[in-house]
Amino acid sequence: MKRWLDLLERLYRIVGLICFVALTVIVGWQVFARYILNDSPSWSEPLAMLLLLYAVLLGAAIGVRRKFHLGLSWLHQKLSSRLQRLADLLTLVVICGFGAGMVTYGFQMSAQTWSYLIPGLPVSMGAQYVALVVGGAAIALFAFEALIDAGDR
Amino acid sequence: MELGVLFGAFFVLLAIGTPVAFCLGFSALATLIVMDISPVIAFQRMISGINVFALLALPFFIFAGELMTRGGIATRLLEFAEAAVGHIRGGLGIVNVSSSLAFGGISGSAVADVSALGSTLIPMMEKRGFHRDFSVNVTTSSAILGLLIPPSHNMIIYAVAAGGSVSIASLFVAGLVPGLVAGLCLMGVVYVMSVRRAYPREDFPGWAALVRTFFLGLPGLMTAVIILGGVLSGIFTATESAAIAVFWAIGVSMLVYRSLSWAEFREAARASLETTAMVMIVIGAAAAFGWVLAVNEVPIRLAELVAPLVDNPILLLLLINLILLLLGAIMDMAPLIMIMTPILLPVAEQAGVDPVQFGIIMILNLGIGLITPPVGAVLFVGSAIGKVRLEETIRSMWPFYLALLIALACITFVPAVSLWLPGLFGQ
Repeated sequence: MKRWLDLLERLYRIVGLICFVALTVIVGWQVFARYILNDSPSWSEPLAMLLLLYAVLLGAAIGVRRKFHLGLSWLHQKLSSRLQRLADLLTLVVICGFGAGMVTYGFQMSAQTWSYLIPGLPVSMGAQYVALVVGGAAIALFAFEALIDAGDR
Repeated sequence: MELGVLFGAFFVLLAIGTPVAFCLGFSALATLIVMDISPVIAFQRMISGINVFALLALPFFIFAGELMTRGGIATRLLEFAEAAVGHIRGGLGIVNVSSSLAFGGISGSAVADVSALGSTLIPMMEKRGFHRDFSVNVTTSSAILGLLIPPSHNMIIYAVAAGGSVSIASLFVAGLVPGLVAGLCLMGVVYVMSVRRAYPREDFPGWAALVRTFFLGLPGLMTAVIILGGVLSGIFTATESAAIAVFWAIGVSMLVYRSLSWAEFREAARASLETTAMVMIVIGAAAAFGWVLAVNEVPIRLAELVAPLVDNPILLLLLINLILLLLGAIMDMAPLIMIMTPILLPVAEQAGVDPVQFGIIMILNLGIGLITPPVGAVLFVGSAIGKVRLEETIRSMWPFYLALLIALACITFVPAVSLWLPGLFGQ
């Protein structure tokens, strides 16, 4: 499983980076078009925001695996090693559950909003919530992987 | 009952080390289930919390800061500061504070500041006879100045948390004078201690060197000028000026400083993506949490609770400062801004505090928290770079805390410190 998840993480990182760099280029283009070409594109802002949403949710999933999310660690460090283990397990269950919630409700919302378009963009509004599904699925998977690792030890 | 679930789940998870974003999101989710409201709301709020136009500036400021830091701008600013103020008593200590002020105009991250400047300055100071703990103290305490000097992505978070009633442009301009005031307070401490401990000063390198280092540092400093100028004149939105700053940063570090390789560019993008995701997922989760708070009328109830204090703004502000300092000592900045702004800002506004000034107060408070144990990311990084034990750093830190608290008092009780400059620009 680890190999597949390594691959998944890499995929998320690449797509996340592409979204991140693309949104920089798009807003840069918007400025150029507005002041040099005198033509404000209407698609640039909504597209940049959609890309940012994907960058954030994919990045958040990577964060679960690489453990770079902000959190409080000093109380945790004061626990005995058995309690620490218990705390870690609970944290992983919570993350896994939240990720599953993101998938379930993200799916529901994207189905509900699929027939509407994002203003200024020929893209369905449901695409915003697909980001929730894509990010949540990996969040749940990565937390699950860590749970199994912790169980093995 | 509902609030018991919300705060109970939140604090238990927080205490056991669950990442803040998941503490916020999960406790909001659990409360909605208890309240028999569809949990779908929580996720909807999360998405709409991230999907805010003003927040688009945040990844750009982070990216521009990363690129500039990796592109060797820190060294240039340092050389300029050394030529300009190195000959004052306490030489490199004063240089340290001034470099942080200049660096703050490029990056709004205190951790970036302490690692970029500290790795060069701490060994340099030690070589010239400064005590090592003193060097670490100066570096860490001045690193938080960048939070006040624009551009500062934490100010964008505050503007969003305040619900769009505060303009990013006013906040940016408002931070300048408080940043300088805090910088001067720190320089005062450095000067007095340097006189007492007979720390050295550098020789004045001459006007030619000063001018030369200025022009070497100028392309970096222009980042701040572009952002502030663009936003203030209304030519660019904050988001657009932030995107321009990214292209400027790429151009300067690749073409002018020739110090940014492709590998470093990729590394900068990777680090920016991670920081952006880390901060913005908290913002999204806090939006869900905030919605549950609002449904349970927490801000209103809290306002009623502190109503007697509203007639006594001095006491109220002292109390708010105390709360923020304590919270800042145990938690990171972005989540606290998101959680505490909707709760505290209405109270402060009732007492007649301007929301712009309140933002500056909040950011300095939480900034001081970054160099205060038990949780002080900047303090930890500074001590690690300076190879000084944490206890040792903290023991000799008090004059610097004192200087920052004096600055905080000025900013809290003299509204003009924050509001004079924005007023001048008609913001």
